Amino acid sequence: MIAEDEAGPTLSIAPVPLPERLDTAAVEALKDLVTQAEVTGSALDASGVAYIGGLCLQVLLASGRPLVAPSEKVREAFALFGVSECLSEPSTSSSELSA
Amino acid sequence: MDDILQIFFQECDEQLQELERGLSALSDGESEHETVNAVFRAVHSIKGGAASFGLDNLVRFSHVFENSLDGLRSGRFAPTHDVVKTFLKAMDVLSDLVNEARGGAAVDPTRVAESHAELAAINSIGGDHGGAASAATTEDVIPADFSPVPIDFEPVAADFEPIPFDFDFGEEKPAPAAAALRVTFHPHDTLYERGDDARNILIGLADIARECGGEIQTSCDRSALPPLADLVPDKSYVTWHIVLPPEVSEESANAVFDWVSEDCDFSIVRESAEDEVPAEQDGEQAEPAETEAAAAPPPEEERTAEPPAPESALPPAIEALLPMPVAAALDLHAGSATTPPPATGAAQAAARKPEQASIRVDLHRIDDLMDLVGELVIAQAAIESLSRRTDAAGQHELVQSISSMQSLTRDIQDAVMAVRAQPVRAVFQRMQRVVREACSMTGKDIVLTLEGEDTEVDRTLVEKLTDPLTHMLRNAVDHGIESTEARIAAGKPAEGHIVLSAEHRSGRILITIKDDGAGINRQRVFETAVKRGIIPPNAVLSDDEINNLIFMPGFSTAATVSNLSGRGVGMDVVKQAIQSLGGRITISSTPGKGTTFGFSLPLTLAILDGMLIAAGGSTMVIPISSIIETMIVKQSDIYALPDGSNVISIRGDCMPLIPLATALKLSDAPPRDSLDASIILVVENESGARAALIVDEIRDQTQVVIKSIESNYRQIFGVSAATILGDGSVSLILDVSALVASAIGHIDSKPSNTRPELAA
Repeated sequence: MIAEDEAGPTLSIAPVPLPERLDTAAVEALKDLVTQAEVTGSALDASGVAYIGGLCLQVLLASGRPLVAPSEKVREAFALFGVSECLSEPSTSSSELSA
Repeated sequence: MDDILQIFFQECDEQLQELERGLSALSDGESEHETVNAVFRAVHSIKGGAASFGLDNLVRFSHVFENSLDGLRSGRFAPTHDVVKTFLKAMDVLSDLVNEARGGAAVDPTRVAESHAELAAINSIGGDHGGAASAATTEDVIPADFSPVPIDFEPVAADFEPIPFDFDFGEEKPAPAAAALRVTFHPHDTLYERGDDARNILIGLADIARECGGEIQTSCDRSALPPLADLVPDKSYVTWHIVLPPEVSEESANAVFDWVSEDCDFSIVRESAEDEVPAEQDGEQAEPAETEAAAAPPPEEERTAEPPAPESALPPAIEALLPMPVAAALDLHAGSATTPPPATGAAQAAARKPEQASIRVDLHRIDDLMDLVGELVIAQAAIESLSRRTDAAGQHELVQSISSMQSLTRDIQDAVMAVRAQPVRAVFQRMQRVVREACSMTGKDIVLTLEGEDTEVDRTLVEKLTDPLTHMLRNAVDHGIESTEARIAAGKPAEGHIVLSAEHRSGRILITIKDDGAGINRQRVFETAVKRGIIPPNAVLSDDEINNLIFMPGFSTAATVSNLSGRGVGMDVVKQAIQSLGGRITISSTPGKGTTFGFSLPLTLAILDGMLIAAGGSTMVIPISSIIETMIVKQSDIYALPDGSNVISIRGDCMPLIPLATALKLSDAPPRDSLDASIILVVENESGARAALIVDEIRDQTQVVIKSIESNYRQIFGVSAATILGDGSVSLILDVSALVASAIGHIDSKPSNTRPELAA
């Protein structure tokens, strides 16, 4: 993910862990979380995320916060949404989606 | 949203029935293309609907199921016994998953995983398509290099029309053109409000792409996305452009948007990948014609690189037809975001109001009813005008008019009954599963054959039949059919056989459960009954009475209590359930050959045709359905028996003669010295046993409304219910079977299967 102001690798604060399900119900909470992360300059820990819905994707895309350690599901979801390039490292898996 | 979800579940039920029917047909060896397609379609529809609602578990499983079915459809493997069995098992899991999604009990994940693995395993039978199989096993991850089903790509020569009507089918012949299908999709906020997600649409598109052996290329247009600070979390900003492989038909792409057509802007355009000519199709699900239209090349066709088919071969008529609806469709949809959409597909779906208890009725039955009601109105007007006339002729006409109204009322009653009538199929098909599960628990191999599933009964009965039948079938599997070894040792085929049948017989419905097992071990039943204190050790019982012991509360011969049966509850519960429906159970059993249980049930629980008779000073009703004939007897036909009872010989048939007043212990019954010239009714119970009832008088034949006497008073011997007659008096409806049974109890002359009531 493209880090705009702060450089991702030099973060001093621990990445903010994201909830497991980023569905429509979680979007408000996610926005708060991401806004906070922006303030503190921390990255987002996507290792525990199992589901990303369209609205939460928008929040993640709009924030531009780097996603740390995206889980396989996150990679799949980003591939599905056609935004794989937003993950900092190239997607290693050829998996495209979760059905 | 809930409304739509309800409809989805209703449809799931139907699809599952369809699936069951199809798989049964497959297991019977009917592997025609249409059967396989029907099965495939059922699973596919469930998957499609589930995806729209984000029911991930359901989608995941049905997806794997569908993949395996696809192998069958494309002929990669044959529907062998084992394959069908796996499918049947998967169907059970699927139906449980549907139930889970509906809020029912959660499904054991190991069961899902097991079925999952089995489906994947049969799919890999297909040999070189190992890719598909491994895709199925790796949980929900389907590799992008997923190598799919071979679809016949033979170019369709002259026959351009790119419209295979059943879009989810194998015979779908993708247009051979190289042009990819470009889908542009922007969800509205309402899509998310409804609980759906753009993700589901993308998954749906990826699925259809994969079915055709390709994959989607998705790009996300984020130009409308504001910075985070300005972003409203539940507003939809982004737009997706998806390129589908050329093999994907427009119809299948359209189908993905079936459920969300009002909640997003989407366009589906066939063109080469470089060109971008989005035909804006806002918020409206195209009806079939429009789907076709959207599928056809857009009017800007001249600009697009290549027409999707050898257009030269197109007959001019079709050519002329095709572009037209496109323009119409586009016009129709332009700016429809602000105007309410016309009643097309999706709108109609929403208009179907779900009801908790609803039945589907053939339209013609409703029409018949309507006609009859019309007649009734006319007849009522006629009676009204006739009643104002005072002359004798008017009186006569009035009587005629009333009698015609009577027959009209009866017709209306029949029509209403027909509306309520439902085939027993729904219950019977559920029994397949009961037997399958019982088989897997007991390790037996049993085939259940259904007969007469189209027999119609009142819906109240249909619903109440499920539990007793479940009990009986489990019992048949557990106790009726022997173990495979025992069967082979007895020289029978290893596979057990149970027949569940329904038929109409003399105004009642007769359901029989027949197994080819070992039959009832009467010796053991007798001993067990003695051991449990149900009968005294010195009791002398007929075979039939012993058979009936199994319906006694607390009776079980099973050595060990199994999951299925053996706890000694069940058979007596079955009997109670059947009796509470006004039915009876008969048993016949031949050692070594099998057992047959028969339920005889009334067609309706509300009204019966009865004969009004008088006996012992009371007016009573006997159901017409049980009366064979009426006659006046001659003394010479009557023979006295040593115990004081009489038999009568009617055309060479001997049957017990029952003085009704005495049998019912009506106190003021006058003793008769001679039976000569008395009026008798020959009555018959369900199993064909007959008796002659002596009555004082036959008064009338009428329809009576049944009122339960048990719930208002208590059970009385020989009386099944009560009714209120036209003059307001209460009259009892006689229980002919009980009377016949008790008469035969005195004269033990009938075949063994004639005694439903046990005098133990």
